[in-house]
Amino acid sequence: MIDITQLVKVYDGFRAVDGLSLRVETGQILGLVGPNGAGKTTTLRCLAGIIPPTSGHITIAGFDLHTHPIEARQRLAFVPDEPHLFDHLTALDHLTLFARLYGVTDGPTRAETLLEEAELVDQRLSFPSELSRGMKQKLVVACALLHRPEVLVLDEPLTGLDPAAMRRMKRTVRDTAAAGASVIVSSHMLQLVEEVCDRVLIVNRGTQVLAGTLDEIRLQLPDVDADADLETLFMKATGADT
Amino acid sequence: MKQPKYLVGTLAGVAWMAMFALRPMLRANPTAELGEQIANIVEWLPALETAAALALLVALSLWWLWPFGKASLELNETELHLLLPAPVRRRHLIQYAVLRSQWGVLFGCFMISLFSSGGVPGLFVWRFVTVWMFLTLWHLHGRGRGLWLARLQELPPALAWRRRATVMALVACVWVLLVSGIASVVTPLSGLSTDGAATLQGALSLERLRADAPLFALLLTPTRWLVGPIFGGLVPNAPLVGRLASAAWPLLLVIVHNEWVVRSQTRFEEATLERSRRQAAKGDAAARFRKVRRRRRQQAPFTLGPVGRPETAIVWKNLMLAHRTHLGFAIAAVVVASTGLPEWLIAIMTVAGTVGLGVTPLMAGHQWRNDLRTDLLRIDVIRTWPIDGWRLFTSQVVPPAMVATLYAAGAGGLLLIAGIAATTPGASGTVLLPPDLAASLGVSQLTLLLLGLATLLPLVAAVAALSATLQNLLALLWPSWIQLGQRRTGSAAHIGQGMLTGLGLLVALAVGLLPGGLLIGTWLFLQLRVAELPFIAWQLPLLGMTAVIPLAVIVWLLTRFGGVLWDQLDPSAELLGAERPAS
Repeated sequence: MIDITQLVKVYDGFRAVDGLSLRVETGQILGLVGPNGAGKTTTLRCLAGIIPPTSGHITIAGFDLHTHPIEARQRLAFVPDEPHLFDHLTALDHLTLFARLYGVTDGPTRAETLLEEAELVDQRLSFPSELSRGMKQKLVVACALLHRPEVLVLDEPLTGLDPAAMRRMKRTVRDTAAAGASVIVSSHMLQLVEEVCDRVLIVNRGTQVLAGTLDEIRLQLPDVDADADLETLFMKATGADT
Repeated sequence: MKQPKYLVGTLAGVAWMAMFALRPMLRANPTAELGEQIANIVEWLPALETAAALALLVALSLWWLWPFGKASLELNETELHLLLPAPVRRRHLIQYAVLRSQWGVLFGCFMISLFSSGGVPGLFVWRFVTVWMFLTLWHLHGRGRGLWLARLQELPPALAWRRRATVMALVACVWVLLVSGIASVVTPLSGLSTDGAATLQGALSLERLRADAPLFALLLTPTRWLVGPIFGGLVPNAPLVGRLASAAWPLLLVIVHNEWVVRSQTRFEEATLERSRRQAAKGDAAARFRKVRRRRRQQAPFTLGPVGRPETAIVWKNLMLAHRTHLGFAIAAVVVASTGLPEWLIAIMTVAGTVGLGVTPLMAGHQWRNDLRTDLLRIDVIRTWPIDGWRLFTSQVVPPAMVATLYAAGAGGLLLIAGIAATTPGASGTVLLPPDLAASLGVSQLTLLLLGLATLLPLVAAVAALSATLQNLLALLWPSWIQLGQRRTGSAAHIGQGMLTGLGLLVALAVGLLPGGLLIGTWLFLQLRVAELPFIAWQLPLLGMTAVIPLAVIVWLLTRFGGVLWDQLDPSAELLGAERPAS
């Protein structure tokens, strides 16, 4: 479960996130959408413990990220928008490293399984510079899933993927949630969010604009068709259609 | 400079540099002090001028014999794509590229002038101007030569051949005159006996050259006029008009060379694009790993199991950045002994071992960057790892210190081999250690060497750890000033920042070594002066440990501090480049 309360992040006098609250239950997938600079990535980075929030509380699987950072991080996996891998480590090395970092007792076996699922068996001894963008993304996701996280956070997970890889990524997200994880997906690809996510949170200028299921959001917006898609709702909610 | 810490760092650095530059000026009469120093060399100036002019002429003529040159300009790919289609005249584009390269030249001039002017402002300005003219000229000459060579490829073969032949003929003429001239200089040197210096000064004096080899003297005139102004600043009480007049020739050459370059009709575009791509590829640190063979990709410093301390994983990862060699092999390589080596080899091994042992730990933080300086580029990955700050920081410090210690141990191994070889029957045994020293301490040379290594190696490890710790602390405190990643560029800004941080690190290192030094000093004082007990060789390792313990405590405290910094680090602006919405 993810619980964020009144999150504020200020840097250089700029309020990137301004009192944002959200909650993602076990097995649920939340779509985080918003225009560029809305504070999505900053929110996710705060949630992943990469940057400290200015104020507010973040709880991951029942552990406060501020007071119990190790326990919280142990249960979390973050997939950043850019697949940052270590240039000098092979694909298998990455999984070996993550297995030890997170104390995955069946690390070697699970690494082989994940390499197979990601269709990276032939690339197990390849360095990141020898992998395509999609392969790198798959390796990052494999590293993230290695320790069976209770919370999965993905920032723009489909960037650079081919259609087949996109389909696999969507399946992975659904399967992870089905296995009991709380998942947050941030993306500009509204179709993905509409297709995969149970609930949507629209943010703009660091604050929540609308939240809920698509039906709930439709009800919150005036002059919207009953079958309006997320793109229409997003444009209305953020004022981008004017 | 939005953050005060950078302002503080800059002020401290500038104050340091200013003190360095101003200290000589603060003396009672820096000009007089410099004058005394110059008086000792002023009689050598004509000879120095001749030697420098000769060296320059030789270098230039050899340069023109070399058939390769760069037809590229110092523009990056973005500049090329923006400027080439822009309505900018060709000569202006080349001029821009020439001016762009001036930052490095100006910085070089500043540093040379700062270190060679002895704190005398007038000499600093003169040195700056003359060195600038010389370096700019050298740079323009190289650029012009490269473009000229490239132009030959574009010309009809017959015309290109004629031009090349003309240059070769000119160079041949120069060398004929050079050889005969050098012979006239060398002949009197063969009689060097009691007053060799006077003979050398006389042989290189302009008057002697004009008398003995007038054509050679004439040949050297242009290059003598070039280097003359640089030395001219040292002549005391030289009239200003004369000095300015001496600068006219280099200045004229700079102008002529600049015109030569900017008027070039050579097609430089493709070569420049290729150069900028090569430069970019050099920056791609990942590229070198593609060459690693398959068998080596399966090697690691040690086997990393899935269970255990997580920080070990970071050490494992960072050690692999330095070498994919199993530590067992590296350690075994150190324990090698050999006999019957020739003395010259023992001498080389001794020098290499001593230098390696002394320099490696101090360079640990500088040479090996398999730590936070590389990992901060992936901060959005490592910040999510479930590890305490201080454990993570320590695991980042250990690999460079470990690699440096292993190298130092290798150097120690060389010394050991040299020691064993030097003490075998038949060897004189004088190469490594003075026999008297070992005898006076009541041990054999080899025992003394072993005790010395046992003293130094823990100390080396501690100093390497301190050096790496300080570098990593710096990366957390002033990340914008540290070049992250494996590659270090040589831009003027980075060199300047590197100098500031390097100076700071040196001070910190000296302060870190101080407690150990004081403890050893106190010990020896009490032993030798107060208790009047003799010094024995067997106490060397204990003395070493006395220095190591306070160092280890300092490193431990600093790693704890590093851990706190890591836990409180907000990489939003400096490392992650946080995005702001368009207003």
